[in-house]
Amino acid sequence: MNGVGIMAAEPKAATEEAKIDLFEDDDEFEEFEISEEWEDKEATKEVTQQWEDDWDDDDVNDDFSLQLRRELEGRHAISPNKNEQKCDPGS
Amino acid sequence: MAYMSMGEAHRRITEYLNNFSNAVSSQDGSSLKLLFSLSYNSSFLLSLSDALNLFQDSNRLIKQSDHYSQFSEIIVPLFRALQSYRLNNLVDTYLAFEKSANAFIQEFRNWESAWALEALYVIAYEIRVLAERADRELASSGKAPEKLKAAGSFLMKVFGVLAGKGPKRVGALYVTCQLFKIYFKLGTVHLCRSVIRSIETARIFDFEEFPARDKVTYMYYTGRLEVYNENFPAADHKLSYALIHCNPQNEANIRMILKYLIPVKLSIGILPRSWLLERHNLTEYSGIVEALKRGDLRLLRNALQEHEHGFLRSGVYLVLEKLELQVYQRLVKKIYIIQKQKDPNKAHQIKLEVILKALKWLDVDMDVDEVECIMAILIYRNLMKGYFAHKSKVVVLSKQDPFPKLNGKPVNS
Repeated sequence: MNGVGIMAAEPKAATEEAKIDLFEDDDEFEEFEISEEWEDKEATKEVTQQWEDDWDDDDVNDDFSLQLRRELEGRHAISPNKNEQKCDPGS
Repeated sequence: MAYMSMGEAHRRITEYLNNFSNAVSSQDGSSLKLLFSLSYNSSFLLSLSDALNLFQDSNRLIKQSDHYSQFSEIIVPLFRALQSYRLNNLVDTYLAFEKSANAFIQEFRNWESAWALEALYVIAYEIRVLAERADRELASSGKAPEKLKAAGSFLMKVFGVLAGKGPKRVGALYVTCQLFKIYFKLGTVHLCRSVIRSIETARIFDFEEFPARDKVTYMYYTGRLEVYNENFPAADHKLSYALIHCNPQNEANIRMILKYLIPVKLSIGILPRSWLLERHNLTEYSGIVEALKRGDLRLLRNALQEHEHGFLRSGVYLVLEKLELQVYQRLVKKIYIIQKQKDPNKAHQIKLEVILKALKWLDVDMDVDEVECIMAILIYRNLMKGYFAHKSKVVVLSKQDPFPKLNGKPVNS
């Protein structure tokens, strides 16, 4: 599960996991009352607004892209700190 | 336990027997169901079980009238279940309750209309919950827990009684959902298959006619199964159905649906808005979403590592791990755009060396051959259009749509 993750898919993890989950399901759906009824909201506007499908834009002005640009232009030879990303585009 | 006289005990037992026989003769399902609701701990049933433990000879009361004795096969073991339940002997409770439930099914089969469905629902629910508690009792005394499995077999029988033609079929989905809960808990989800087939291939009954509570539960569980099978379009359809139709007041269930729907949406290139993650306390996905937006492989890796345990437990780890390809795509795209801004004429040629440099910056330790391999996979999976010039170590991108979007479809496999 490290290194080149896509090179080696690990089906092993799936079977191990099945064992852990024996007699256990953390995500058991809560029981609705037998007479529980509610108004069906169908596909309201709010439901569709929960998701974003046009995020893959051409914008490269975010901090990450600006740092990437600097790396590629070779102005910074040293890898940035692992946890703290420098985000000072002006330097 | 409050003091109860023998006369009072007698009165309470008779009252129960009367209620039972009246509910059946007037075909009153919602009254009947209360008489089976053990684990609701109603004061009515609690004081009845106290009365039974005091009076001891309830069988004599059952036999004294035909109104009661015709249901003795149901009531005698049910009384025993109540007594054991009061004394916290859960294995005994389960065994007696199952016996009573079996007798109830015999009667139910003979009733032509579906009037007693509500009582049947309660029995199906009780049998599952009692079995779980009985198994806990067995496990704690070092014995093999096997009652939940037995409850599964019993409910399959109930399913068979409902699944045919006729007015009782509307109850089949409730029992299916109880079975799903058992199979997911036991880790025997493959057993879901035959019930699903029976529900989905039935021409005689439209799925939409089932009650909303069962449709939502059913779509949640079958959606989870599709996640495990990595059938993302189907998982998206089912979990989205559950989300849209779930009771908006039930926050816990909405959160559980989203917990599985989010990885599914991510894998088909759709991101949740950050307010959605915050509102439902699902911020364990925030880092992954951000990694996709940026093309930040290091962030993806860190986010997966940080929540590895939880993702493994819910079974979405492998789904999320596969997002790596999309993150590579996004990173190469960003390199491409940056090159284009500098020199539009040469932008469609990306040197492997440049990609390697970006990866190194992101702490991804790879050599040129491995990067070449990743690029080949991106092209093969149609996340990138172009070809690879092996000799000059350059990726030559197509001038038209070099980074096709997924648009709600899964990555080619």
